[in-house]
Amino acid sequence: MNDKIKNILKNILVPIAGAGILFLFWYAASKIKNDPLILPYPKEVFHRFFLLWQEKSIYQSIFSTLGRTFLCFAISLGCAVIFAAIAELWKPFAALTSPIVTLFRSAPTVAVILILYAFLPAKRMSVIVGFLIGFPVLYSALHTAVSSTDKSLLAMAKVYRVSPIRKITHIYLSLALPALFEASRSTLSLTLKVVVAAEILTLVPSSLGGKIQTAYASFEIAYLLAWTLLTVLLAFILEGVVVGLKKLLVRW
Amino acid sequence: MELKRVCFAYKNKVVYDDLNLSIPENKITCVLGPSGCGKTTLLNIIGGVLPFNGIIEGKGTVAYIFQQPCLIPSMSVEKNVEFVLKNVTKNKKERKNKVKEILKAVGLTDAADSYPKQLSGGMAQRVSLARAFCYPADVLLMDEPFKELDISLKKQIYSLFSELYGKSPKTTVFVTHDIEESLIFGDKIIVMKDGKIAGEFLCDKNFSLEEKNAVKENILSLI
Repeated sequence: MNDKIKNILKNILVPIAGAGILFLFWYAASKIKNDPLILPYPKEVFHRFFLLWQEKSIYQSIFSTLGRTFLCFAISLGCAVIFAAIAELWKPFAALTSPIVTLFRSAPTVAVILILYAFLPAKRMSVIVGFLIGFPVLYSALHTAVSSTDKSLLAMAKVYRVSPIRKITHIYLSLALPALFEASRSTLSLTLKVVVAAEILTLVPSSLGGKIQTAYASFEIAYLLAWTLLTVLLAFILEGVVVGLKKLLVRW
Repeated sequence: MELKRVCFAYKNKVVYDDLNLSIPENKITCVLGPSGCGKTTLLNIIGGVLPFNGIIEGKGTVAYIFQQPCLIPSMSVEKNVEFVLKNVTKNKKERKNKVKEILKAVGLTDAADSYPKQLSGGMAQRVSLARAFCYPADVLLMDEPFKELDISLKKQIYSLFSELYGKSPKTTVFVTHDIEESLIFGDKIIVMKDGKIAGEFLCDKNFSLEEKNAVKENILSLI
């Protein structure tokens, strides 16, 4: 079997088989439960999923949720880059910020949402909650990558009198890029998940979370699962985009 | 180049306490000695990688061939060589020509667009040689650059180094473990022990085998 066929098998057919098994379990559970109101069959959910695209508000919901996701990802990434740079330049900074990062990482998301709900408007809150989840992951990945930069390359740059800016862009950032893409891949879909969760709890209108909440309130489980399926699909596409960008930019 | 009253310590471990050393201009000075005697530290001090107390006179600009090739993985061979030239040669065309020339000299024209992970150990070390000889340095530092290479590859790189060095001789400090290597290249051999100079020998490439053996025995008696 040549490598091309092996790759197709590994990267396409095996994941499809995995998804097939998942749907088989879902179908079996629906059959056992035998109550479409509580657990609808996959076929019905897919039917509702295709009907979603006829709704006028679907694109607005997708764009507003994705907009919030990208906004908090961008803020998280920007802060992670600044924090990692400061931590590399001034070593005690990493220890100083570690309690805050640990707090962000371990605080229960729902509790944070409920606490902040009293102080912030719903739309802004989902962005803040997304940041609290995304920032620690990106910062940890970047800080680890930057602090483990090959010291001999830095020595080489010092000997050859390379300017600090070129040292940052060509050594630190270029070496951290693969790790940054790996972290971004999971963080982006995680952020989408958290933003949707915050939208559900804070009833943000015209958003994926708002739609899921509406479906839940009217006890339309097939409708709820169709919106959930759409969210999963979007997370999958986002991960795919990051993987594609990595292949394009990290060619070494 | 003169090192005067050089003192250096790693935390509590003193490596050099009042080291004085004379390195002849445009000659190769080989530094021999057991592991941990401070050979690489000496190069890092001269190269400006480590801060120290003391004076180094007549140093000028420095090029360094490390034990590992020290290539930036995200850059092609051509870009790796060009990377160190950006500060010294502002004209892009001139810089590109310089890189092209040196890559031709080390036989890597065809690998100019390759990334470091696509190179063999010998090719990577040739890039490191190209980078060092392309840089307008007054002093060349070499830290056991041929250590990781197998014998046949070593011979190829030896002749390549001799050719490049012949074209542009520099004040060179060559750290090695290999006495034979120091006898091949060294105009002067310094033996170090515990951060101190245990002995100095002047060498000549035209030395007879007997003369070389005599130097070798003297060196061995000091290590």
